Amino acid sequence: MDKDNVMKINGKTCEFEPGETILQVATRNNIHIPTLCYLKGAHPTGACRMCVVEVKGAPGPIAACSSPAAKNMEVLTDTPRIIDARKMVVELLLISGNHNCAVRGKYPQDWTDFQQEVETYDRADDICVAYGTCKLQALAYKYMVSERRLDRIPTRYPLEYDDPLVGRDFSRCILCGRCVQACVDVQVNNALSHGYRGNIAKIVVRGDMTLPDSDCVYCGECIQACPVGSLFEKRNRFSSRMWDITQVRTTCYYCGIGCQINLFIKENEIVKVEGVEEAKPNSGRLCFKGRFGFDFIHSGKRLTKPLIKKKGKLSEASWDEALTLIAAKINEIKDKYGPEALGCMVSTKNTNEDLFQAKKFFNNVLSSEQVFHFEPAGYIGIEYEDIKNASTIVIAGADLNRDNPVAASYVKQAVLKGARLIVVDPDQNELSKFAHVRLKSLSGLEKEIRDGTILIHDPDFDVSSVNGKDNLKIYSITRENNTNGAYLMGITPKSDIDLKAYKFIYSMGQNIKDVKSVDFLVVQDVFPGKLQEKADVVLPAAVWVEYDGTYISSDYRVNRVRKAVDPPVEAKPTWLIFKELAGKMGQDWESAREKEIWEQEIIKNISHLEGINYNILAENGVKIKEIEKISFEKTVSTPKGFERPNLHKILAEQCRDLQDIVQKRFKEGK
Amino acid sequence: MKKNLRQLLVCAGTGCVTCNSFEIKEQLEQEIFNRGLQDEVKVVATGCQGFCDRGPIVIVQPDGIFYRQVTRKEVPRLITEHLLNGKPIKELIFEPPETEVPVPNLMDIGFFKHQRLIILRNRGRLDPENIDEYIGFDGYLALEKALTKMKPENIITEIKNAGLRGRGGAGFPTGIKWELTRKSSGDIKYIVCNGDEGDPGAFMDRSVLEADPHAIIEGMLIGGRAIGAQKGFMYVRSEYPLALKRLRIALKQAEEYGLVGEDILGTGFNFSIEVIPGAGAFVCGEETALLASIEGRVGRPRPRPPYPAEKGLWDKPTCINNVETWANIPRIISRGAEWFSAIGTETSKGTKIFSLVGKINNTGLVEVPMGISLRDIIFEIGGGLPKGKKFKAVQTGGPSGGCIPEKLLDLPIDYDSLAQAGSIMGSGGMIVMDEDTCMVDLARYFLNFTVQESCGKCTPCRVGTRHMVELLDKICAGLGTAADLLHLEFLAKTVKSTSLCGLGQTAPNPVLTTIKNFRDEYEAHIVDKRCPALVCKALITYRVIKEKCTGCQRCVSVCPTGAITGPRAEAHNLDINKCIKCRACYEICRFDAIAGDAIRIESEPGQQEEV
Repeated sequence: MDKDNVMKINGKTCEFEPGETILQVATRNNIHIPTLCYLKGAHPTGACRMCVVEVKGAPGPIAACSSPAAKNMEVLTDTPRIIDARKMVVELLLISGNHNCAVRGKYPQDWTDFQQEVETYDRADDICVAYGTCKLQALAYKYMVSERRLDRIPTRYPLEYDDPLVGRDFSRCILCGRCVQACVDVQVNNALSHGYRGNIAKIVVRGDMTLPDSDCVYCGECIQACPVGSLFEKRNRFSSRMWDITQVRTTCYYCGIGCQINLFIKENEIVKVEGVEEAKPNSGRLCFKGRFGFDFIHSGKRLTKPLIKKKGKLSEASWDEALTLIAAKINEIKDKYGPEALGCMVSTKNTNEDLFQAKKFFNNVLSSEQVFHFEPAGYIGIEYEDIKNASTIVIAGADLNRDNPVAASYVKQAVLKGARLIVVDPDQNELSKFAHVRLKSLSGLEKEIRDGTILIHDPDFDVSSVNGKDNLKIYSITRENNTNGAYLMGITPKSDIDLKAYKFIYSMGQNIKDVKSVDFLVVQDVFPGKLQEKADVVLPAAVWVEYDGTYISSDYRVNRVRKAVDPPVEAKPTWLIFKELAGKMGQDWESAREKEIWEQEIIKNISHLEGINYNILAENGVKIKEIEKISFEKTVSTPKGFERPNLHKILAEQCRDLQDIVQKRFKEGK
Repeated sequence: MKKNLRQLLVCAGTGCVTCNSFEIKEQLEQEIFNRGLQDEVKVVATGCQGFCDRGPIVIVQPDGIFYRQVTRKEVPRLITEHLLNGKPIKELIFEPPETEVPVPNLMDIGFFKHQRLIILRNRGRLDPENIDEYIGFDGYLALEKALTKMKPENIITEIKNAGLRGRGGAGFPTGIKWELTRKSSGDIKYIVCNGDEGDPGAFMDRSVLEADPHAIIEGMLIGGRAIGAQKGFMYVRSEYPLALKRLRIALKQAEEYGLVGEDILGTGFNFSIEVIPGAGAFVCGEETALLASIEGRVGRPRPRPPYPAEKGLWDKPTCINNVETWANIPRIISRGAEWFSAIGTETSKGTKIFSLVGKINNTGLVEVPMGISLRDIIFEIGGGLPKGKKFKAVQTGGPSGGCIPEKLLDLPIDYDSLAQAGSIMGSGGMIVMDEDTCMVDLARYFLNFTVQESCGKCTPCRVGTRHMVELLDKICAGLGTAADLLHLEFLAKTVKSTSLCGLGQTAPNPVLTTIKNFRDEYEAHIVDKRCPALVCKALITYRVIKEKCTGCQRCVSVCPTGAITGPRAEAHNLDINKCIKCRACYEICRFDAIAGDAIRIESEPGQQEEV
């Protein structure tokens, strides 16, 4: 071979791209080099020294994570000298903390004393939270480091256990710095940093405060990055043992980004959520809502049975009773006022399968075109890759820190790399802290546009005045998880509505203030509420982790949603409610499962989705075809009198643990 | 007397300033004024003379008379007897302890005679707070030459040909570093001066900063021109207030003279300099940590490559050299590479400043040509060891250096020989130790320093050095085992080879070199439970030598625990159960000079049980 970029690792000839590190080349060639502090996507820090390798001609071991591959370099990854060095690193880390999984004493009594000491520190009598998933533990076993040749160093800093969500165990911290990188380099929230030095070094929260007093926004990226048991979620501290849980891959439902997540399920309950490291668009990162906002699913307050209003009071009924009543009322109203008096307000939180069924029901069964939602729609879907390469980023009207925090992290990362940031927002916007220019309106924007400028707007913020400008690409980012799916399912947003025109309304939890003119109101929702009290029938809906389906995210990527837990008692998925309702109206729909609706009906009828079956979606999401053809002519905003859902408020109401944090951090949240 | 015929050079380096040299200066001026001599005699506050042990220092020029330890009392006599009557004052003349013969003339004193001043050429002859004096001694001529008569490439070639290597310790060829930075792509480039000198007992850079700040500024300007940089940063530790003050004054004056700023000397060359005070971390002397600190981040080193020449401050190509390196530049440019490279050895050119401290008669700062032997520095310049004690070892390169034993004393001082001996040039610290120094204790002392100053980033340095200290503690306490020594050595080698930055990579040097050169002392601690140098408290006991004790009760009065008792004029008793081994009795006993040591410390073998 006479190629320029060729090196040898353990005798194997490997090609490399200039700029690649030894570790990257080795990993690509299936040569394993152990690491602890290396965090993919962040600058290597070379802190732990676990990944040392021998390089021919170099005077000593070299850290593979940070050393660039070079022409004709000869690397040996497992020489006796290297093994000794790694064993030493593992041993030094083991003896400087409460690693009660792998540290063994010389004498039998030692272990007991040590274990008791650790339990006192932990204020618990279990073994380390990370047991079984800890990288240090794995290395200790791999290199068979257990002998205590040295005395253990007592832990200097006490367990921090006062935060409602996160526990910080300094006795297990190996100071690898991954949490700091996750916070500073990846999420760019700048809450964590390195404090003190030498053997009193500590990962600190700005000036060594506690988490609740700090700038932490609880994205939880640090917890996911922690390779040991130093950072943990309090509520699943000892309950998410790897042997107790099953993992279900799904898509987050909080915003339009469509983050890929793994749900940790134990006994029909979600105990933990993690971002999927290898999947687009989030590459492992999550936000506060996505990581912690799942308690409500298991809330005892959920609607579990249909309710029918009898003598002014809602009382429990069977599904058959409720659906029969709805069917009868539909017929009555249709006869009296015609089909256009029958309206359906969908929620763009629902799956494509749900929305397709609703649309089908109203169009085909009732002959009504009145299926709509109030989520604003903008221009073309966002491309996250373009954020990375943009010279200037304009954020117009979108409060990304609040509504799409993962997208905010991409923007902040781009700013760190040198992009100019312009924030256009009449209101307060957290992202302004990073902005080079702040504008109240679009009027002053023109002179700031240069080559490689992109504009990201919330569809509710009209940017038509700058649409079509040279050098400017406009992207929309949606607040709701499936606004784009609704659009493809043929359900369009309405920016004005006359409620008096409707005598029958089926609302999927969409807020209607004045229902006096409506003869019959059906509300489908998860929790009881004010609107539900005004309803004639309330139907208990299943939520997104309780059935299968698909979402289409802001970047027009089709993502799978999977059933992870059973719905409570009699709650049903939306698509099934409509199937049964159609049955009551005398139409027997063939598709009996989500997969059938998607594959037999949806992708066969909607050309953009052609061929994207569940099999293809099995691993990662798929970007839809001819994305450039999907674009609104102009922005459509939410009609007056309708509020867009306030997720933080819902979180605060439904997730007990999160109340304090939400009130403190997100009080500005709309 | 003719106008300004005489100059009184008062040393105003930090050492002398702490001995009130400013007061001496004021008093001298007052006395001169009182006698109406102000037109004939000028008093100049100069930079450090280097002979810090003997401050405050006053030199009378052109007579060349060197006065040490001048007190306020002697000032009027100095004026009347010396200046007016021409009779030097005997009491203030330096007497080398080894000969005890007075040496009135500066250039006859061994300490000064053997030095060769290039970097410190202006020390003690000009007022560092006055740019005109620097210009008077040909200052900024090198800059003019570099800007008007040389192309940037020629400047770099000149530095390369001179063979100058970085004086910060690692000895990387300066010209090559400049060339790499110049060749790195990008319009914005930076120059950094590393003045974060942190080795205990080292004050070379402080002295240069205090004595000749303009030389560094001039060096940086030339470097900026050669590399294509527009901005320079001087990172100086805030523990050097005088250096910072003089640097700021110098910078302001240079700006006023148009030597720093825009369109320097009308050549279109722009270069500004900013002074950044360090925040007190030793590790910030490491270049990548220093850059992080300038950027306002936590001072922690990062892996190299990329080297600062490629990605430095704010990811822009950055050339970082230390104070002494920059101070060499103007001299090389004005006198040429050939002249400079004629000084020194094959691989190490020029001179090096050392701070000579420890058990040595002439403590101070010395500049010597590379290649001079350790023996010459210690015995010719340093005047040997006090009290006739025997030389044991010299530690070069500060806490990260190694201990060089007597058998290597004829080693020529250059980067490569020191490295071969397991030590380093470092920034130039040189600590001399006599037979009263315990090498195990010494290794522990230095290692303790690195443990405190480790940034805590990489595992070997953070945890490994700490454990090494623990093992040394064990050995010093007489609890060490042969396995501990083996483990210590292995740990030291691993820390050295796997640490992230220079701090960790050199921290084990004191341990490794003492184990190599003084293994017998370690073994004495471990096997015999004995500290041969009588330092490690756990391994010594004090007792009164009855035959020598006169019963003067001086020791009784200083003993803090009442361990010594006995009536006057009778030999005293020492209760070892009460004794805390504070050494106070040993120090106060007057009869060690007359009748040997009346109270003797003795290592007591076999007291500790092996565990």
